[in-house]
Amino acid sequence: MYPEFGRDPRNLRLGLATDGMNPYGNLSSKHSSWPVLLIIYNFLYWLCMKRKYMMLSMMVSGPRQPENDIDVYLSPLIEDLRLLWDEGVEVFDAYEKVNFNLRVLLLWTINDFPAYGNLSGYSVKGHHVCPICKENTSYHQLKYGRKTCYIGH
Amino acid sequence: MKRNHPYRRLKKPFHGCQEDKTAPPPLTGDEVYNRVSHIEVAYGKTVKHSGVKNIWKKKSVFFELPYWSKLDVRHCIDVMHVEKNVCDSIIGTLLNIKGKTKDGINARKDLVEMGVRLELQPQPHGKRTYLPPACHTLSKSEKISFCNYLRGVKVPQGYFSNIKSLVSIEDLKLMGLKSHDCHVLMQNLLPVAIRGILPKNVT
Repeated sequence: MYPEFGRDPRNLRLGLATDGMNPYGNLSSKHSSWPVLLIIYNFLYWLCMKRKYMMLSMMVSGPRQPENDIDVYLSPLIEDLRLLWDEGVEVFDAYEKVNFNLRVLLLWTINDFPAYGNLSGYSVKGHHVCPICKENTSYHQLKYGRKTCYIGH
Repeated sequence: MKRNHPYRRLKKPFHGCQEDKTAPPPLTGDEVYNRVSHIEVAYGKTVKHSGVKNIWKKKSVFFELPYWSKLDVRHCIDVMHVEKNVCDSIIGTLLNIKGKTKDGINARKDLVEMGVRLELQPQPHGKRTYLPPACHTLSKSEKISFCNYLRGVKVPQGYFSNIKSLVSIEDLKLMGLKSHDCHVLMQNLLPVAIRGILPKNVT
């Protein structure tokens, strides 16, 4: 779709992963921080998920989780990503000893289902939770288990 | 599932009617954008206003990126997480660990409510109710042999954590499973472990 982007193998493809974690372990059970990691998919697939090659781009700290307001925290990152996509930045290639214009594409986000709702803006609670079936999600409220089950998925 | 898969025609093992629908196509990025583009949200604490409920909560920041609506896969679910949860539920139900099992009296009552698997409905016996064993229920000796198998497994170095420390024979439980343990259990050990114990239609 973007051939001039794909032509240069040095252009980066990123994945964005986020989830709530508790920095204090079981010392304080209410705290929840949200690290936002960027993963470079240009690396070999057994390297790109190693700690050495992941980038902690930001840390949404605070005692409570940001929920839907995570957009506000993410907007500086998105600004940078826009700059990296629209214009790119001048970067030195140490192998060929030349400067080149580096551009970056954010490929996808990786998260669990509640965080999926926060990032994509889709509702992940209640009856219409399937992001593919939308309003036509088939659900069934169990009378005794007091849970909703989604039959037909 | 394929259009002509034999499971589609079975009524009894599932919820009682044939399944002839196909999977709906997912929304493309542009369609999502059209749906969310008019939503205006105030971030932070706001007064809750009752009104028309929308299944879309906000327009995600990622739509600021010019290429975002052109991508095919925009969000991925963390498979490691899902696998761990599934593994925990299966182990809890198999070993019938209290608080972890999904096969309790309420589940059986719901089955009656839906009118499926009537052979499993709870039967009152005086003050107590009796839950008939399902096809996946293990007896005590079977549980012991299951745990003993897991204790005795030998794996290459660096492949799996020390499983002897995870299995407790006294309580017939698996404790402190990390997500990688769950992965190995689900992929390799569990099918072998229950092959000799459970009937063929389960395994």
